Amino acid sequence: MAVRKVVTYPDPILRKRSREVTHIDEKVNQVIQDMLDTMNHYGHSIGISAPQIGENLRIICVDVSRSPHYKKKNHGLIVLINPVITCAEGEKVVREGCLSVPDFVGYVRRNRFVTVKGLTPDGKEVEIEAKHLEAVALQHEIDHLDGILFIDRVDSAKSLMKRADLVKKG
Amino acid sequence: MGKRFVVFTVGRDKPGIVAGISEVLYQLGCNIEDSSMTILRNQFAMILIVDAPDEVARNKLEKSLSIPCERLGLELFVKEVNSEDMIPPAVKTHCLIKVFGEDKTGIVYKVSKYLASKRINIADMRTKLSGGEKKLYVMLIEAEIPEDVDVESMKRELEKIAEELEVDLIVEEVPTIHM
Repeated sequence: MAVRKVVTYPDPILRKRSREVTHIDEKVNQVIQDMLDTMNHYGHSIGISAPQIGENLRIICVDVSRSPHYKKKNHGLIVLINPVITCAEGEKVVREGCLSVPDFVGYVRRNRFVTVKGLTPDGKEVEIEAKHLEAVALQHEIDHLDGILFIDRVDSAKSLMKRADLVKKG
Repeated sequence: MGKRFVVFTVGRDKPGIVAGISEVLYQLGCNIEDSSMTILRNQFAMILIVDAPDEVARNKLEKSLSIPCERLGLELFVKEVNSEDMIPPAVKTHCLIKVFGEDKTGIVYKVSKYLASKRINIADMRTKLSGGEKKLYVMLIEAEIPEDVDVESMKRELEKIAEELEVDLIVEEVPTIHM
């Protein structure tokens, strides 16, 4: 159990392509636990990727049920190893923020629906069909595994802003 | 850390405005921290937050900047800002307010008066008037909703105002997704 320091841009870790996980061993389980602890520590976060805690491994966690106003159907906590988007449809513009790019928010174009394939922490292959906020979060986290940040996807000068203090302190 | 200034210029658009201003700032050792620029009917406006070294006083900054401004035909305004002015207010969520309708005076005033009465801050606003025979007025507002304002009741009250103005109004909440 450990809350890790979140790596912030321009740290080069965030620009590397992360490695596939070949064996789910003790180390991988520890990374997953630390990712969850770190995500839980930041109450407003609905997703995290391994490179954000300094591990260039292809692991993501997403849990949109943590978002206070979000009531649409979702899968709750998703932990995926070696996730791959197998199908993506529709378009949606969302306003995103990221623990690794503090102080900024930006409008980003994402797919509205995605299907993501990957392994669960116990090594089972799963396919998840996600929509809306959950689909956006999966795309954002999978981008991290390829060294892509939401600020790369901002499509005009007006689309990137400094964030007002949206998160309540304490 | 030095002092911070807000620098504002406006004038007829032409190539070289940003270069002319930033050249002087660079020579004075000033850092452009935040900037925004916009253009309306050939009038180019630029607002900059500048971090200046201690030895650069407001007078010196203004005098140095007035040289490119004169050459480029720009109006100039320079003011020191203190750090308390830079702290953003606590905001619950953002809403995009869209108003469409026949042009008439009072649209901006009546909508903004309501927002001000609820202490809802306008973070960004754009209005545009079409050139057609029947002129269409479009207003887009990005509003910062404070903790004590309920989005649904704000929506209802804005719809009432829109009805009186005989314009269409759409309110969309644009939450920020934190990852």
